[in-house]
Amino acid sequence: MDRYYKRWFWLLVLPAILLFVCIIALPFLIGAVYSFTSWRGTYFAGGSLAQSFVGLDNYRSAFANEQFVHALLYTTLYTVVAVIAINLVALALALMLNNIRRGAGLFRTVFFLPNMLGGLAMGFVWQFIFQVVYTELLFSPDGILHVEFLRYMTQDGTKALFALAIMTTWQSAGYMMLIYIGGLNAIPGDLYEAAQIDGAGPVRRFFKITLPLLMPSITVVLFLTLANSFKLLDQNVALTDGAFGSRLIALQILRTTQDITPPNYGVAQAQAVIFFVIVAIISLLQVWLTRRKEVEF
Amino acid sequence: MHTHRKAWMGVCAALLSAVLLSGCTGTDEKDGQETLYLFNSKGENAEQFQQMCDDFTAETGIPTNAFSVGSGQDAIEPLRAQMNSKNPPAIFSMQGIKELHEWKESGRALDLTTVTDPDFKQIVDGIPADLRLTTDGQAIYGIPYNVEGYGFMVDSQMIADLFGADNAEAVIAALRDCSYEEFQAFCEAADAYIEAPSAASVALSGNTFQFLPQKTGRAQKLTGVFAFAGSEDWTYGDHLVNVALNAVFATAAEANAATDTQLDSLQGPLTAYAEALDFITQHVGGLKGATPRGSDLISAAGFGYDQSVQMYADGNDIFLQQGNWAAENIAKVDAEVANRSSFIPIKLPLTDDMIKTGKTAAEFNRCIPVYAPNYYAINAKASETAQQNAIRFLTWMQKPENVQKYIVGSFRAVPYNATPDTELTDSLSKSILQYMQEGRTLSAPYHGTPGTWSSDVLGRKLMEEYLTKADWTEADYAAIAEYGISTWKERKAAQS
Repeated sequence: MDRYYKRWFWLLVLPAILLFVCIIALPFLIGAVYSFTSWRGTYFAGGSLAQSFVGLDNYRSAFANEQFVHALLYTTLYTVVAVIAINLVALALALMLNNIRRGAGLFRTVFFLPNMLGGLAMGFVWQFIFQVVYTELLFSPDGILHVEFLRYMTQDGTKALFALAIMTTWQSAGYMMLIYIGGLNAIPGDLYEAAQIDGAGPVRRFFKITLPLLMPSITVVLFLTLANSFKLLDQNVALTDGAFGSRLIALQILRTTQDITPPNYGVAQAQAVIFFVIVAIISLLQVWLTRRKEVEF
Repeated sequence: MHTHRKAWMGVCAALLSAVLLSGCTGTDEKDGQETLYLFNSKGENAEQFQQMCDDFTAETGIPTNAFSVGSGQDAIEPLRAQMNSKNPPAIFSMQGIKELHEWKESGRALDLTTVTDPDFKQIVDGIPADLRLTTDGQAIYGIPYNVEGYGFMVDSQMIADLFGADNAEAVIAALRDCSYEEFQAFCEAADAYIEAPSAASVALSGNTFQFLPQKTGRAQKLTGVFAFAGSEDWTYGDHLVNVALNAVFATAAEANAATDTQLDSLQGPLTAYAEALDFITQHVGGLKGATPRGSDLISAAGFGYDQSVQMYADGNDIFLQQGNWAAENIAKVDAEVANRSSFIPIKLPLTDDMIKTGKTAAEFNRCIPVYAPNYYAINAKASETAQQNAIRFLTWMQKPENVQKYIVGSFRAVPYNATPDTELTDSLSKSILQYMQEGRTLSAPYHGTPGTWSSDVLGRKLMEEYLTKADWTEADYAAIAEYGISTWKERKAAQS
């Protein structure tokens, strides 16, 4: 079998390579080139590709655009909140499910279910929840508990950031929980027994055994949540549509092509390249940092 | 068994690669005839559009391939993708002057005045001046899909229940003609009546009408004067502000070429617009009663488009600012209301000196905006044969019998060249036709504003900062106008 794979390796991986090149690599490279031109979506303003070369103008325009800078900062803030919330909730759910014997499968399914909903549908469902259930039923002065911060959550930039984080935590925590459960199951039980015999309490066992041995899962979950949070689009469109300064970076890039006519895809593309570089640097740093904490047993 | 599996894996991999490498191949010819590719931006009538294309093929033998976007989907991105494809459309749609620059600059928009075909030339020459898709008044780049109009919808039964069946027609006629001040007094009287009914009188267009002493019929459900979609910034961002823009710009092309002096002269009309919006939003009725400005008014769950249509159709409010495109949605709630509805103009507190287009304030407040939302354009980069087929298709489509059959019958739209003989099906369309025939129409200069200025900039600002604010002052009106002008100038500078 090994000989077969060695012999036909390139033929077998060719479809995957072709797909990657056609769908990811080529469009990315073309996009990067277009970010230095005055590409208008279907033509180059000024003539050909070479004639429409504008150097770093699009990048300057991107950084000079207040909305872009605001969206970048807002997205970073949202990412910090969402990554922490999703990871904490996912880990808590995983730890709880790892400790129950009956009904664990059912709970796993229930917690995972929100992940099956599409982003737009989710946004509209949560828009109703925030505007009616939160605002009028749960947290109004006549509701169960009056919490003004939790009312009209889509009508204020700060509140909207938390609204987005609540919604995406509800959506993603179940999926991330499954990765954590996989990681928890891979930790040998005898380590806990030995620690217990040595007198280590639950908290100590968690920090000295669970957390270090869960680092491979944490690396994966952090990477996924970071990337997903940075590129969140559908939920942003459906929940707030960027109102009250809640435009995330993906929505900002999308709207850049609509803000002026004819559409300036060159600037939008430059914004996308800047966005890619930032996300790539943060993600690589995160993987490098968490990998260093991983222990082998 | 193992060898078979390995062989299969190899074959599958080779096949997948072959498919990926080959790409899609197709032919654009059928029976020796070049296929006419069409792009339809109205997903709502995809089926009817396809039927029209099939009928054209059956009649002429020219094969067609129509692409319609999904219902409610934005059309411009799919159109750009189609333009970049191997078979770009020969007939495509353009949403007015906003999109014209893009297609003109790319060399794809054919100047229809250059076509020599006499039948087609006649059609192009017959497009009314205010509906022409042009930048310089000379070249014309599109044939209007249809016309749409909007204003304050009013249900004749509601007026009958407020003033008595015998007076309903006269009250609606008077509302059409009255001044802003009279309309304001009418709304205030109606609001007081909703609160505590009495046989109060209102003066409209030289006549006095008396409310019935007790609420009857639909009037019993009233909670406010206006149904309002506060979460939809396009209703007051695009459509309401468009009425004010008409004071300075007679067409979208004029707005598109606006000078700083013209923009400065918008101060008065935009102040009047802010004052009118202030008035409207003080008289909004929701499901739970009169709704003041505040967070609830911009909540999509309570004051979205669907809810405003529902409230109007259910009789919670007297007026709804919407266009004839909403007729189907109203009919879904109550077909009778849709059948009884007509338009009265949106009134603004303008003075004659604010209006630069030759109208008086009185004339202005008797008009409703009627405009072409979309145009059929011909792709100048399509082959000569495809362009000829496109010309033939559009000429065929504009034959009076086909206008009646497809545009009126199938698409349920108002043809731009409608005549008194055009048999329109719905009440709101008939109302538009009446205004057109009386020459009481305004244009759509908001189509000529930069990018998404009217909704995303001005409309969004109003939603975020003003519709949540209880009291507006004169200074607020001025600030709204100044913001509108300065941001228009900024966007204009960014575009140039």
